[in-house]
Amino acid sequence: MKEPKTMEDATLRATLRALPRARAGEDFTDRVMARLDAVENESRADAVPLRWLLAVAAVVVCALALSFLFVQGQREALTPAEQAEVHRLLEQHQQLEEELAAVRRAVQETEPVLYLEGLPTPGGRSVDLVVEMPTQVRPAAYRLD
Amino acid sequence: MMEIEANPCAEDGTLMRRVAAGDRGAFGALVERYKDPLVAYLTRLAGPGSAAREGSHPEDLAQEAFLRLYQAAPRYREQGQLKAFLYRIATNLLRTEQRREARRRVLLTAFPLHGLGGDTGPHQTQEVLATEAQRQVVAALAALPMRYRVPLVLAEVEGWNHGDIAALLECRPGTVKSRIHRAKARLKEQLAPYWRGALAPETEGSSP
Repeated sequence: MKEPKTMEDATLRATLRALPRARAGEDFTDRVMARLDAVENESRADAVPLRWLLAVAAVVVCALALSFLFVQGQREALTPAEQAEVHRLLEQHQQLEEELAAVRRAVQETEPVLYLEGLPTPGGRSVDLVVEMPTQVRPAAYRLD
Repeated sequence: MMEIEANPCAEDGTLMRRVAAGDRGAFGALVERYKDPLVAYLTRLAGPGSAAREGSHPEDLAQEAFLRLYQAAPRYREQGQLKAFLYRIATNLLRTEQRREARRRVLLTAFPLHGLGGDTGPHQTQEVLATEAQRQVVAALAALPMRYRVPLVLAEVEGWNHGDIAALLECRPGTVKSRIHRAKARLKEQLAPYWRGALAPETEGSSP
């Protein structure tokens, strides 16, 4: 019988599968776990605490805000006369605000009244009569002369 | 030996979900399940002398692959292909390591430094190969480009089907078949001088 000139697929497969098969060492899993511990400990050590991140963020925000205000201040710089005028206007505005608030308080605290002055009495004298009016009182009828 | 608390019969997907939740016992169960086949695969893929190279020992690469698997667990989406996912990680690690090794060899050739080069050393643990024929097979396998070697080893040594190999390589099954065919052709060509000698009688009938 004539020998085949080339290797058959089955033979090649058998040849490959006949090679010695490596196995993991007995402590393989333990070593993987140890490496995992080492990696996790390292990443924990490298991790920046959250409070530090927040502190850095706060400092950055403050620095940006101060820079912004400084630039705005430079841009809106006023002469001394203009500054005095602004100061005067602000004070006046504050005074008006206070007066307006006082008026509002007075309106809210005042009860509606009917003030009748110089009413004649049977004795020939005159009196002033102040009548407190309940809210939402309407006259039943009235006459205009 | 560490205690593996997870049910060793649990499905891969179940174990990976538990790993993603930080369950180290589940991770240990996965390591136990795949450590032997993965080390065998990487040893066959890495070729002779790989055990002697610092950092590229198949066991080191397998450990690194498992660590990468642990770190990837939160992003892993179960599709019944955890094994392919793990082997892809391992294959990519080996490729990276071999590229680094190739660069190192080029540098050592250009600037030889005493005590740093070479694969041999006092702690070298060469794979024990019974015959000259087996050494020739291993050498021929190692000479194949990785794009042929990976599918060939997975199909012919590890017994994977073409669909699983295609999933690992992220290519079509037809491409896998083609690469395996070419790999076999190259191996046969390289082993032809030994075919009528030691190989044939020793390996005939030794199929598992």
